[in-house]
Amino acid sequence: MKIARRKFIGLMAGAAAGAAVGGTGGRIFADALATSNQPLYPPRGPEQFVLSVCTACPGGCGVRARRIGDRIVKVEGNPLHPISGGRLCPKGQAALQALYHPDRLRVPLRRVGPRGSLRSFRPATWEAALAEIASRLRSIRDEQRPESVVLLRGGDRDIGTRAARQFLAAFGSPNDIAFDRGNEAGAMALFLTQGVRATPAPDIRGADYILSLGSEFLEASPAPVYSMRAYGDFRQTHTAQRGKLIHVDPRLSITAASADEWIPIRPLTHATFALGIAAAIVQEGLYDREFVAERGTGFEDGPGGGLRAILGNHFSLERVAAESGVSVNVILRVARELAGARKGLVLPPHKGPLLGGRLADHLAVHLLNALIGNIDRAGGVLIADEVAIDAWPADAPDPVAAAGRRQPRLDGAGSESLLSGDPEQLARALSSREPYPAEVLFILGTDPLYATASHDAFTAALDRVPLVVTFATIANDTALRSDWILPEPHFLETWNVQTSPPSVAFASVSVASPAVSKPLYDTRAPADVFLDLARRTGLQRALPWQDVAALSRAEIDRLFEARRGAIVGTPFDAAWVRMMEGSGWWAPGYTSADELWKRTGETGGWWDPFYDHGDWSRVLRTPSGRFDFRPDLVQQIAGASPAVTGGAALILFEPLPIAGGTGAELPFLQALLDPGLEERWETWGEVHPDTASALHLRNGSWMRVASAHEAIVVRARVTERVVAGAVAIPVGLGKRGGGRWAEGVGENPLRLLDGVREPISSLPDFAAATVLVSEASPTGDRPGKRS
Amino acid sequence: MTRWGMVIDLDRCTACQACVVACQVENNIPPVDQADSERGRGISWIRLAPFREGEHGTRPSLRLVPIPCMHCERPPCVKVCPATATVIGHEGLVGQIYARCIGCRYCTTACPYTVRQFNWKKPEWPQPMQDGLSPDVSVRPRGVVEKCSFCHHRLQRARDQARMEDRTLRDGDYLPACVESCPAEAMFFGDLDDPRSVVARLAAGPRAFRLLEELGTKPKVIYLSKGESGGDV
Repeated sequence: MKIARRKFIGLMAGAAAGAAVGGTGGRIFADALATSNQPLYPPRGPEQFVLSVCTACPGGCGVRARRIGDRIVKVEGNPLHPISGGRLCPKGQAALQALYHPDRLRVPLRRVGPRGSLRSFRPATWEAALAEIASRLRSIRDEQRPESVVLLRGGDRDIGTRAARQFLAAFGSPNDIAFDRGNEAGAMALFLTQGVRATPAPDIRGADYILSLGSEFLEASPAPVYSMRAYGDFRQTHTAQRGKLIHVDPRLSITAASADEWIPIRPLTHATFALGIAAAIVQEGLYDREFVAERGTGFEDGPGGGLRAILGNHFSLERVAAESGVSVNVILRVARELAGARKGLVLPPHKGPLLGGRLADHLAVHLLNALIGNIDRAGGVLIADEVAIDAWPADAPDPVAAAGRRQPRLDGAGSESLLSGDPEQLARALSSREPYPAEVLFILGTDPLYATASHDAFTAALDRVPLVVTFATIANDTALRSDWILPEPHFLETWNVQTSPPSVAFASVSVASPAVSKPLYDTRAPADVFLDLARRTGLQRALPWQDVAALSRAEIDRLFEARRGAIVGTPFDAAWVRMMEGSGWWAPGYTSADELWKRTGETGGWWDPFYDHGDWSRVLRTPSGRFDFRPDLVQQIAGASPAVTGGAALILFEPLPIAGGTGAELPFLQALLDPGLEERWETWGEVHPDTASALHLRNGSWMRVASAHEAIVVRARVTERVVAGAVAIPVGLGKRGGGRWAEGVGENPLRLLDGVREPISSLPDFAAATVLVSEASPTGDRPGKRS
Repeated sequence: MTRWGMVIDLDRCTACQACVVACQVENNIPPVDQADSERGRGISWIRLAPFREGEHGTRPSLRLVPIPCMHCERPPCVKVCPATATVIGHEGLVGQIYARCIGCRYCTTACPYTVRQFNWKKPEWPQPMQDGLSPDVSVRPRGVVEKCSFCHHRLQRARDQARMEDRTLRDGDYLPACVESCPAEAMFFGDLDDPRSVVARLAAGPRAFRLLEELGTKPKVIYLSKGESGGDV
């Protein structure tokens, strides 16, 4: 890369000028020698390093906290940890700001006033909180209506969530509902074609050509540090040739900026583009004939004459070019490059933890991967083994619980449905009190009121549940509308046993112990809360452990029973374990559960680095035992031709510092929302210069973005980073809660959505909204926020 | 001689900005609120600078380049400082001595990379954020200039450690916080004068370049451009 000197100076001049204006005068010089009069006490005491697991996102990075005396002064990656590899993302680095955040919840809070404000809450004791919740739970059990207790949970990989789920099962409720929008579409595509319920794990490190169809895998992947480490190796390694990255999306994201080529396409045409590439590959005979013939079904036969016929009939280069806005030449070139690469890999349009994408796009991408023989091969799409402790052993429920668990789920999702959880349907059921009313709602590890596509429905739903209990470290939007807010400890203050995140192709278990001698405040780990509630409701048979420390130990005992894997270690250790397991030996480096507990405490965890490629009975569990090319669904995709009508397409994305709706609480993260536009501390909307001039929008002016039922005002950024006819807005700001640095800063564009669902998957469609964009204030002043 | 230097591989870099936050936490940089941030009062010793390319009508591209202090061999900031508050040490680290700094900001103007920042405000940490302050790094008063130190305090720690183990410093013993954190493993650090060090090998490769080399500042931060490695690793 060559940067002209004049250009460089020009760019820098802006920054320098910004720093030089304002506040001058003699006083500065007088103050220069005076030291801060704020009392600053350096920490004293011995230096120690404590291992933990970052829970700022679901990525599950092993970390090492530097402790001096009883203060934590730095968090780094744990070098032995297979996910972080000693590295950390900005969120992990900012963990100290979260630990010592001035607005952390310090005691349980009981709501005594109207919902929606922290002023409506009064401090309470844990005894008061748990006694009230337990007494409600006991009367529900007495009335034999255990199904009226609902758990809405964000994750499923941490010890607190496992304890909550175990509690719910023992109590007798089927309403264990995941709010997991980020991984739903990818898991569905895998289930529909391979019959496996898991999140696909693309082998980025093993690929040498990546066609990213709007996958923001360098910004908001389910495991950001792991993805970025893999990407680094994909680009430059000792052994392989440099990997090439092509990014196809309506927006030049940070991931696109890293790519070798950005190919802009029209909004909503990812699936069409992917199937167009597939059609070109099939037509030129470049697909993996062996995989298709030996492992596939539905390619030459089935509805519509099979996938080959549908691709030929509906996805001609001309049609795909016309719809996507990409020229025939480019489509053909990309198809040939992808098929010609030794290890080409296609990534689906996953925009972040809240914006997992549409099933049509994920399915089209997965079919394309299958056509080029990517299923379960190195550099392809893998499926991680389940971790032994992910599922609890089935217990024998008591009669009340057994009857409760046979009740239908309030959200209508679950193992019988494509959706693993449907929070929006849950909201409707809570409001209508059909098929039965809910009495208690536990909300753990998620902020549904912020993240939902049906904000109004959720707000109404929370009002209809008699007892809403939210766990949080800082009061979030949902907590402000709850009845009880139970303060959670920061991850550096508590025990945790965390299993490997989605999109990582190996099983791992990370062990965290408290890095401080006692929590800063009167907080309790969610696992401790559910263990306590189990004791108070007579369910201690199902959760017999004294506290979260004992539970952690019990989980490691169960891990020992699995008799596989090894203690995490250096790359050399991993290579050794892989070689041994590959030839049928188990070389764990531990001989007892005690030793496993001790060693995981010393190193940070356990993992199983061995991957058995091509174990078809494990990865192809469809009724036919073959990869199903789903001509039936491709026909549906071909028939529906989504087009943007009546306004601009709303493109949502999640910048890494605030992905997943978390991070806006921390000032360090607010200051780095987008390095490309140097955006910070506000919500902006990107519009193409052509669109902007048609709408008379100027760069930096305020812009009103309105959907059918809601409008927000954001800063206009006129940029060619987004295609014409669209407006791109980041998700992650615009909070009602979140403490002093998040509250009221920016806007939440999810409010613009109105619960439109994608037909095949019935997932909320975050990509389908069209909005009207207009100039909000010609004067440059920020106009009233809402219309 | 030892000559500490950094290599940043722009082909690996994903512009995640972990380096920015790692540096702020490591070096006791105070948080600023929205109002101060919008006035440009937020301090970061390393930042991502955007280089937008492409005229209207052509396909644009965006390059994001992490820019710490270059620790120039011939630092313009040292030349202009009237108070000897910024000096270059014998191992090539350009240091800032806060107690000597009179806040004249000649250096912020002289630095062609604009990596020097002035403390317009007294640093403040809302309770209990000061509990996370590192004891290794002093906090800076209002009215002085500060900048990237290559985490010089980590060199002292690494030296102490090596001395305790009765050995010399090894490549990789001393890493600044940004290098240690970088998720894409795009940053490298070490002795440019040691031909066996990783940074010396990378800096001699065909992808290596320096920012504004033509000014004669001789930066000790070396970038690797995108593209085939051509055997430099």
